[in-house]
Amino acid sequence: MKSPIRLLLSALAILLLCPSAHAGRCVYGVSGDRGAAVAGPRGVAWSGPNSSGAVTRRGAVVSSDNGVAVAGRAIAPVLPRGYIAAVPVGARPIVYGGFNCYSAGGMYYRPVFYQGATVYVVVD
Amino acid sequence: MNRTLLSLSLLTVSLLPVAAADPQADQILRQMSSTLAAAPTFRFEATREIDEALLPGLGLTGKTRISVLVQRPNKFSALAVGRAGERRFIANGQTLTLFESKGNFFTTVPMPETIDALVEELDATYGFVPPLIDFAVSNPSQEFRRQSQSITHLGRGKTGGGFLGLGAVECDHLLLKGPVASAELWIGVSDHLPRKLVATFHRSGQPQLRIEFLKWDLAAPAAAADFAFTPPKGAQKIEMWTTARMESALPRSKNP
Repeated sequence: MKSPIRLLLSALAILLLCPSAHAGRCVYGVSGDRGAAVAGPRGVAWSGPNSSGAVTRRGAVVSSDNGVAVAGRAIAPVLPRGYIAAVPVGARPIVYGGFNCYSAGGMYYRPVFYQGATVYVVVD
Repeated sequence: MNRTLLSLSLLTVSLLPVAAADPQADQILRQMSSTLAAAPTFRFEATREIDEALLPGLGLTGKTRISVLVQRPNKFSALAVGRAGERRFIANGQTLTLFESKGNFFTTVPMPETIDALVEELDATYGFVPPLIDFAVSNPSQEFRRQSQSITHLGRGKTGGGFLGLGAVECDHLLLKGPVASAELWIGVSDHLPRKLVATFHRSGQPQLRIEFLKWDLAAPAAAADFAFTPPKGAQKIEMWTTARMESALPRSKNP
């Protein structure tokens, strides 16, 4: 009589310990809540569990009269989600590290597809 | 002892991820699934609206018009036109190509043998699936059951239609309650085709996904050219990153 109980307890433990059948899967075509960077009308912002920041028209990256992007002030290249959805205003195309990238404020952004959309990751 | 066994059995069964459906709702869902599965080649058009909270920052939210062509078992083409420009997904049986007009970027990755396997792989490896793919897999009802804990028939009513409701379609109205989202699905009474889906996600703000089907053609012609991709002038091929790769690229320090 003990073995059926053990069997049931094992099954129960597996069910409770295993991730749900829905974990990490798309539901109605929408992926799990993995978070993301946000591109706003005034530039690019990012947010994460421990930090937030922004590259705006008036902030870190600005375009000079001759169209060359320059850094307005130092901003650490921290993107908590690893990417941004749009390159900063004034970014210009450049080949960097063997990849076609965009450069702005002394940083290089490489376009990649992620979760079905184009995002830009910082190239070290 | 028997009582313990019974209690444990009931608890175990209650935790199984199987959708409980009332018989009528189950039959309606199966009919929809059979109707779609029986069409070897079909085309449909829909509008999709996604609230920003569901896919923040990817530029995929808002209203999008989507055209889909399916040729079973392994060809799929979807064109999505929205505020982020045009996105195209083409699965030709050997590769999946994704094109985005805004940046003029495209990527190509090998695909498994079937649409079903492609969906599984994209979901597990890349963290996304092509738009409206739930209706293109070989067994849509199975997909809906996977996402639901209970399925209920709410009654009948008309949906769609234009001015003064002209052209509205009589539908069965189902409620699919799930742990991640609950959806209302309207299925045509006479043709068994999906007409509308509204999914409300159990997240802060209760964001929604709304799909309205505009056209169905279950005998659509398809040619090889429909599943071929020629990069537009100046298009740049870029990599498609897996979720694992993006995770590994996350910065170690999160303090700017």
